[in-house]
Amino acid sequence: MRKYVIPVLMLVFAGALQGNIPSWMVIKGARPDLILVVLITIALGLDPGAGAVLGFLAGLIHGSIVGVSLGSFIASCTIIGFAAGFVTIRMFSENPIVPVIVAGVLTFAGEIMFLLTNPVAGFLVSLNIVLFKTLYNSLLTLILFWVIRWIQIRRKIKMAAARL
Amino acid sequence: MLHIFRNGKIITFVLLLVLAIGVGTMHNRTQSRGSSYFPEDAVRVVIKPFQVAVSGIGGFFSGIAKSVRSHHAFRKENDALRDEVKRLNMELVSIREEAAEARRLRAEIGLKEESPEKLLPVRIISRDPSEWFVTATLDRGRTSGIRSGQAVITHRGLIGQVFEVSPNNAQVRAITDGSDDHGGVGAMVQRSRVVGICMGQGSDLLQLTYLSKDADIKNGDIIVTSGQGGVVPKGLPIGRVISVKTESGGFMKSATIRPSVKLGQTEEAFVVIRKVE
Repeated sequence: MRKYVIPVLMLVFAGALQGNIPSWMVIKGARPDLILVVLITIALGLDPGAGAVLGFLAGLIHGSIVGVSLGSFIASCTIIGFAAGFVTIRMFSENPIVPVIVAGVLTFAGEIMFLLTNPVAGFLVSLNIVLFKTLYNSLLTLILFWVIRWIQIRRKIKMAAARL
Repeated sequence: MLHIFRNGKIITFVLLLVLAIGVGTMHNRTQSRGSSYFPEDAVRVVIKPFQVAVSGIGGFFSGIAKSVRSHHAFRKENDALRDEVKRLNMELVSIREEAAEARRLRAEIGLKEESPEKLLPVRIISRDPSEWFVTATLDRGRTSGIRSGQAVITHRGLIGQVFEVSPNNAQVRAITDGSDDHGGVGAMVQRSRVVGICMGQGSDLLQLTYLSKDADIKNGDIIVTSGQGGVVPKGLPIGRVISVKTESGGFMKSATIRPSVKLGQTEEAFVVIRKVE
């Protein structure tokens, strides 16, 4: 249970930021999905089951902020969390290219899944938004991945120094 | 095949998906009654302090950015605002006169007085969290008297309607929201009193539909709420017509409207507290 505390706090904070993204960050109608970025980055370090649980919570947070289509948000995030966790046990996720590709693929797949359950007018416009969002999320995942790795390395160095 | 069911991770995943469907179904049911769903309430209670803090910090920085503007621009704006205040004061006097006259005439012909509306000031603590829905979260909820269906406005016009209320939060759907379950708002052309339905398209613009082919509407016309249905008060500004076209078949007209208020640029608003059936 303890392993979920910090990730959930990060998701809550990402949720608060998600609703206050400044308009200059919106490119061609697309804005970064901070909740998804946090979910994918953390779930890459978890097993698929834990990734799915975290995905469920991420979807609950996102759906509660939007207030519409709660079930679709939860289902798509659960699948994304599970898939991200699955990648960890199948692939070498220390390479920064892996989270970037995973974030891109899962954002695209997740958004298409969401749009299939919530059809909106203008499929081509929606596809354009999804593509920009995919690029946005991939870039942010790379940044967050580096930040998390930097924190982990610092912690390891401190622990090694304390042992000495 | 059976070994899949012995894998705990896959069982967890499937159970969570089933739970997601259950939660989604329950959420839709409670939302159709205008109330909020308890897991959502719990999440909103936890997230509200973070949202208030982030929105406050964002407001602080945008305030700094605004104050960095040149002194000259401020003086110019100040002069323009002084002139505007003078003009509005003059207008207010004549409007008060007309309102008093209207009340007197209504009483004379025996028309029932409309119930007065109360404006509840609210802060928008979260807006546009998804590209697919134009929604926002208000910092006040049921305990402050907010109910589902009430209109949310600013001094410039209508923003949208409350669609879900928690004890200390309320969710607003903007008039520009283009999702399927948004029915639109009764609207009319202020000049010619032609009525129609204003629908969101998911973009920054609105569509005024169900206008007859000979409807008197032209570019630049101001569109206000018609008050039909009794949910949204009559006469609130919605926006301005930027184009008019005749629909295919030639039986109907529709107009594209630029809304007078953008949800994404709004920090404070008012909820019109009135009885909603």
